[in-house]
Amino acid sequence: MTQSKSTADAAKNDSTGAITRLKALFAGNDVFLILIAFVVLAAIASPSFLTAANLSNLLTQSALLGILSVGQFLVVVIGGFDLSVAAVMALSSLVFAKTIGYGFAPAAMLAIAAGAGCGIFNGLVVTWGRVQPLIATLAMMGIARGLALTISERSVLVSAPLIADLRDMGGFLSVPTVIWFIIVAIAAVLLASTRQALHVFAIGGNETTSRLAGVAVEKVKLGVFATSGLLSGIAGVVLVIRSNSGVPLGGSGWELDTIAAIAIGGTNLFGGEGKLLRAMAGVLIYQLIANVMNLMAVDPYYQNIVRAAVIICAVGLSILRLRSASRRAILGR
Amino acid sequence: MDQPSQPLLKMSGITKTFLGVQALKGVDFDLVPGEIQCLIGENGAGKSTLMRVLAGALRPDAGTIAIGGDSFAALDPMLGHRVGIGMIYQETDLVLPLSVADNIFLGHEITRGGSILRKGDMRPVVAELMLDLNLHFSPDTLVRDLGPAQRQLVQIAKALSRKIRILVLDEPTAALTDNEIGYLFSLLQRLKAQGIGMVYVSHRLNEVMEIADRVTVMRDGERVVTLPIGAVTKDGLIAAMVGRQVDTDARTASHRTDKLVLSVDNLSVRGQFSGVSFDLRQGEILGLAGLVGAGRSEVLECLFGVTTPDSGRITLFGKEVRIGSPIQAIRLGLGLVPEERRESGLVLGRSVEENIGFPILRRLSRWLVIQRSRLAGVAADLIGSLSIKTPSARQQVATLSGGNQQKVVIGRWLAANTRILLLDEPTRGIDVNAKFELYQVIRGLTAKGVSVVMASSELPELLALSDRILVMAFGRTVAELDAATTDQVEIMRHAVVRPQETTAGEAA
Repeated sequence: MTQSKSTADAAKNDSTGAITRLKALFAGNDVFLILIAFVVLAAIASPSFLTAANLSNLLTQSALLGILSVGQFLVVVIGGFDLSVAAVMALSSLVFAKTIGYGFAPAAMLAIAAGAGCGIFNGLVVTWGRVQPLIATLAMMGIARGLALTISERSVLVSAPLIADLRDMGGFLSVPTVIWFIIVAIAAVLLASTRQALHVFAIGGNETTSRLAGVAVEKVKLGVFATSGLLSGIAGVVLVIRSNSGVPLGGSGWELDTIAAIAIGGTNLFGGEGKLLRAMAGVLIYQLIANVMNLMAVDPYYQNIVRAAVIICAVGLSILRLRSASRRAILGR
Repeated sequence: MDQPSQPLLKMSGITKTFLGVQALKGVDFDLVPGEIQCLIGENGAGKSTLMRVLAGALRPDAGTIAIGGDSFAALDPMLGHRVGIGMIYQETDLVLPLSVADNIFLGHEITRGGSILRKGDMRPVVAELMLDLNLHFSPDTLVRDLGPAQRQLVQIAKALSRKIRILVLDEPTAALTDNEIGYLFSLLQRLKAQGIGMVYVSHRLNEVMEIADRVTVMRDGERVVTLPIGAVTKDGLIAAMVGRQVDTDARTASHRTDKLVLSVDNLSVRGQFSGVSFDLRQGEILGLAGLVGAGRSEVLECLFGVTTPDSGRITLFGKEVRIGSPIQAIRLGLGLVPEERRESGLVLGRSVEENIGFPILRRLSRWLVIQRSRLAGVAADLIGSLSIKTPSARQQVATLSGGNQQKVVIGRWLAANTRILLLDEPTRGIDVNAKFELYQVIRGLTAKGVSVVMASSELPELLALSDRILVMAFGRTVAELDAATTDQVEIMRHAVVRPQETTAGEAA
């Protein structure tokens, strides 16, 4: 029975042949293909795009959004949203800037701990308090931004020589870029190899089933929000390295940019599905568009419109792909 | 637990209430090692609820569960797994975007240090389980890409991947072909030889007669009887499931005329039902009988344009029609009262009059503004004629009782001048008195020339209200009975038999 069906499937595949295979290739790697296409287009549109200086700059510009997007990715996969990532980063940047007098390492630890604390708070509100993630993290966004502005209404300039060194260090890959890459590498390995990561995808895919299978749903959720907060904390430190200051209004609006970026990267915003590296490609696409438009001196107002159009197209594409996949499953019966 | 006399499981006095409705009324249930005990009963008898309590998915209000030597007031999913209860749920209990292998080991992955997955150790186990179930596809396949039968078998593999002493199978064969059922049954025999106790929930009496050691019949949240298979006959089981005798006084006068209003010819929707044909006359009530999954709701949804038929013809008032959407169905004079009235029948947060006026708001509006006075007029008429008990027409629908909510849904279709009313389980979750009022309302409609197709799991209700009863089983119509002369036993006898059923065991 099963065998005869699979032979029938095979015959069907042959008949539609090359188109199917092309579609499969595209469906599997569309985000990377789009990224490459954008790079080519950008190189054509602006001669200054494919220069080492500009590419290095592009990566550095992507690093902060990228680090925040790793946390956002985890939260979205488990079936939520974290609207507090950018505000927590700002808060953590001020904690770092204000305490760096006690030494780089203690200050960085404190700043990252502050971020993780915010994340744990988010997680507790969501699990114990049974508040929807969107609302819980919206509240945290207000709290963190408010605290940051309470600490200082203006940017706090950091004069530590170590920061200046870190800022000037590195050739093509700046310190923020390297930190981003390391985080992505660690996260990718953990996502591929750990039970807890599998549970994140399982809960996002079907929470009831996960619970019935004995998955500690609350603990995993708490862990995900804590991780997102921790990464925001690290982003705060990186923000200070990049800009030489703690910035209370840093990254305003970025919480939505992270969601848009990982959506471009094919992450299912309803949870349960996504690939980290594709999400990061989404971040690059998102930044690349801004970068090219800046090079071409496009009016910033138009830039917003173009970016919005790209988001709609990318997300629409991934929804189309999902729909064709589920149709295949129904017809495969 | 090695002695057969010692029960493996003993559930005593299990009680569970949902929103004031008693789903389980002090049920006792026991299981011995190495036995297959079938649990049967009509829709809503409490079988699935009892098994969910056993698996720890539901917390009972009262009662104890003794497994081996331990006694519990309630289990939770983790505890259930630890004491060795495997559960195969009726509906898909899998994570669709994950692979088959990940689903099978979900919640009990083999790890190093509690964290790092040891995929190499899990793979052979998955491969062996899949071989046992005759599943020939890669364990890396996403569950989303599998068909219903394959998903069902993966669920079974998932349950067997744990160390289990008790295995519960809730309607495991609903999606399976005879061939696959054969594999499943030979597997169950092997588990039986290992001393695993099994509870097999099913409507299919042929299967029950084939594999059961004992049969327990449930009805209305109570255990009716438990008997060894040698002591039962199919007819005896059907009689025990049905129980209640029809109150013949409940039968009401028919308003059926000779005028044909709807004719359905050989209607099919792939994967749902096929070859369904019937006629409906003005003022007639046609009952649709059948077990859960027989395809009754699907036929109603197809008539209402929710799904489009793959083949077949619908003739409405003498004209052949294609019903492509609910909007079209409404224009043609059809109205559906869905099974889940709270979910898909009502806008709970809005008022009674708004709910009644919902399909005709365009007619009640001038430009874009709803003319409240006309809406109020329409609503007041219907609240009166259906005797909907509500403090005012502006009352939020959510605050009404189930019976009155149902009247609001029916009232809406009357306001829209519906000629054919499609009712899906119209009295589910409604208390007894309100049911009789609804019967009068439905009967009253037919006097005004409305025709009704009514799917119901309550056989007495079908017998009391219908002119004719169409019995469905496994997506086909299997019998057409005159409601005046048939009885519950005859209906059930048709409903539990698969058309041209071959004995599943022979295929193995």
